[in-house]
Amino acid sequence: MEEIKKCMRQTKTILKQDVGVMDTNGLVIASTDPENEGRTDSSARAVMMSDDVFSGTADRTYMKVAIGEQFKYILYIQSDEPSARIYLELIAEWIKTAVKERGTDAEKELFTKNVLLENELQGEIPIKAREYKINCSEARIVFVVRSTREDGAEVLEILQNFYSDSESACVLAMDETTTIIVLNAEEAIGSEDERNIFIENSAKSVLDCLNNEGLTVFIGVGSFVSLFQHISKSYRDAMLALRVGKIFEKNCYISRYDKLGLGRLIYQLPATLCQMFIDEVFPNEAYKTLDDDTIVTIESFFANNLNGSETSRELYVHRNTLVYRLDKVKKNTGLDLRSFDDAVLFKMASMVRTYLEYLETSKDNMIR
Amino acid sequence: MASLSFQHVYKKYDGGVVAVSDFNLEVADKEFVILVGPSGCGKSTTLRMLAGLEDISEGEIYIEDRVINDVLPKDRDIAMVFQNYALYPHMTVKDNMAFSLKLKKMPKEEINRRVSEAAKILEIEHLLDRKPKALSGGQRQRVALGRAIVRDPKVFLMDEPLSNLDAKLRVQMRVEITKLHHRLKTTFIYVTHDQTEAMTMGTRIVVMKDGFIQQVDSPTELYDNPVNTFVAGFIGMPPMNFINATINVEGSDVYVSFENVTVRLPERYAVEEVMERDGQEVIFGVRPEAITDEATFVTDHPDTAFSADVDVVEMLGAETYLYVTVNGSLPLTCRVDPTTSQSAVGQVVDLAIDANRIHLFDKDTEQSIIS
Repeated sequence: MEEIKKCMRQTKTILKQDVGVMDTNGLVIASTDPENEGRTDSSARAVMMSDDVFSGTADRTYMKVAIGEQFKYILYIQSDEPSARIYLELIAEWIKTAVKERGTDAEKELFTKNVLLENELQGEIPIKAREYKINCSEARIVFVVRSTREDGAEVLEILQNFYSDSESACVLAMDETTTIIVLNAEEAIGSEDERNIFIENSAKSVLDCLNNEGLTVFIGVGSFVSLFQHISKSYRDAMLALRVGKIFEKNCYISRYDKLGLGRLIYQLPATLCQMFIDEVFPNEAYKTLDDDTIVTIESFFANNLNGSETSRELYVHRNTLVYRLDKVKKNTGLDLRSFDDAVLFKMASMVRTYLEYLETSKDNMIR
Repeated sequence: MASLSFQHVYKKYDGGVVAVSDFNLEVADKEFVILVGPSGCGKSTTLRMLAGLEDISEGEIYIEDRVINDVLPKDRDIAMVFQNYALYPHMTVKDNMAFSLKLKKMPKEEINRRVSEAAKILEIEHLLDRKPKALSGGQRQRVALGRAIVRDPKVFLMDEPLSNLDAKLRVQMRVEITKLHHRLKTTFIYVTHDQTEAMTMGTRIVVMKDGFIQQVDSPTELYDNPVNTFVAGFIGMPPMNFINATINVEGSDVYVSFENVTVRLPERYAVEEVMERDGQEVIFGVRPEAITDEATFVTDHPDTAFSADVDVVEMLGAETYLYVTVNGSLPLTCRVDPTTSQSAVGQVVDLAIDANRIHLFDKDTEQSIIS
């Protein structure tokens, strides 16, 4: 429908006469005068009954338009001049082309989706890609944009407008909360730095663009792939980045597959192994004995590279208070965070615990 | 146009990280408030909580009399401008400005009216048919501002909007945004890490550090009466000199001594808060412009005069910075008048402190001793 409306908007800039498109029941679906849209033309029935493609009333000329074998639309122009028929024929051809292109775009989108989901045979991808004028040998990267169910449609519309040039990116909806951007990354195939800048700028642009419209989203960034047939890998990586990011970096809106760090390792571990590790580091659920103040202190102590002065300054507490809290951690857990080995063990165990909590919550959600 | 109120607002992340702590602020209608502080101080998080892009962990935010904690970002009647212009590359300037209104299904006539009005305000009417690629950085920033203006919001939120511009353009856009605030007569909340931006644009400045508000005041008050060493050091360029000094009280006279230099403080310092610290160490703060090498001033103020070795002289045209060392160990920065200063590298120079413009801070708490 949008492509027909677009044709009408462009017709308005060329022709100074009122032109419109109706469905076969006479409902005006697009017109050079938007006020006519939604109105019904009672002549439509007679036009459809007529054997001739063209018909007319005192001030209007009509033309039936077939898409494929069937008449799908009726075009009209507010004129009974002989030139009116020529105009209608030209506009009809224009609309047919636009509708056909739209069909091709939809097929191309479906094909890309199938490649992402590994529903296409690897050998057939380059052949089909050629049909849709997709260059297989260009570097690409996949971004997964996750929004709320309510915002999904708006996110898609905004991103389709942001990347309206199909050469630079393909934007498609995977489901009502997930929008995929397959981004052409040819300009970033140089150095590591260039890749980093490309990812940071692109992801930040998408985030800011959506935030600007009052939409909160999380973005998973996949890995670079050099062939179109491999975008499914980048998609898988982006999904993993999103999941791992959500577990370990909840305050982070952009999660990159290449920057997942320890989170990636822990995410691969089986739950039983994780539980064994926790039982070993925190016997008798020692972690639960730590209050909020102590946990904040530990986080700050880690963030300040185990520097006591910096930590006490940041927390506005006396150094002795900090020492007291760290001693309490040692007493409760057996780990002295001032020692590097114990600090590493505590950090890893905290992350493993976060992961186990996530598994527990997801299990609860599944049951619900 | 709207007033804002932050009441005991906290942002806590899972795992115990507290990004914003007990944030309390009242913003009057049409005010231009700047949130300033170093990276990671919680200023952007505060702005994002106001925008609805971050959840509020505790406390309440009001726009006028309405609590907006649970209001969707779209329904808060605010507009944001980011560092990243996030313009739609394939749309014209006009379409870029109109896009959010189209999403809201606003009538075409109203969209056109708002876009042309905003374009007129920003003086970009001649750019309406261009695409972002054909615009300079400053013009793109204006378009981003235009996108915010067309929404006719109650509050404008700006998150480091000038960071992508070069120094010269930044100065120009600073003036433009200030003018825009006067013209639109709307509440502006502006986040920056740049203290010059903060000092030149805001009617009030909120200085933040580690998630806490340090001081909320007008630019002049912040500069003249900082409440602690952080604010004193953060505001002003070159930053304030901090010297470990000792208070000495002799009768009703108060002196501070450091590195064999003794400075007699004016009478207004002869108050209980200072006198009771006789013999104690304090942090003595002096702004670079409060130390001068002007011969007449030095002669007239023997109580605050001392000598120093000149290490570096930086001539900036309208002013000169002297980097000196007192007693071979205490580095100080002075801002002197290039038309009168004769100081050169390697010389021993006579300097004097303007004792009316000094600051005293507690050594442990780093808070100002005299409020």
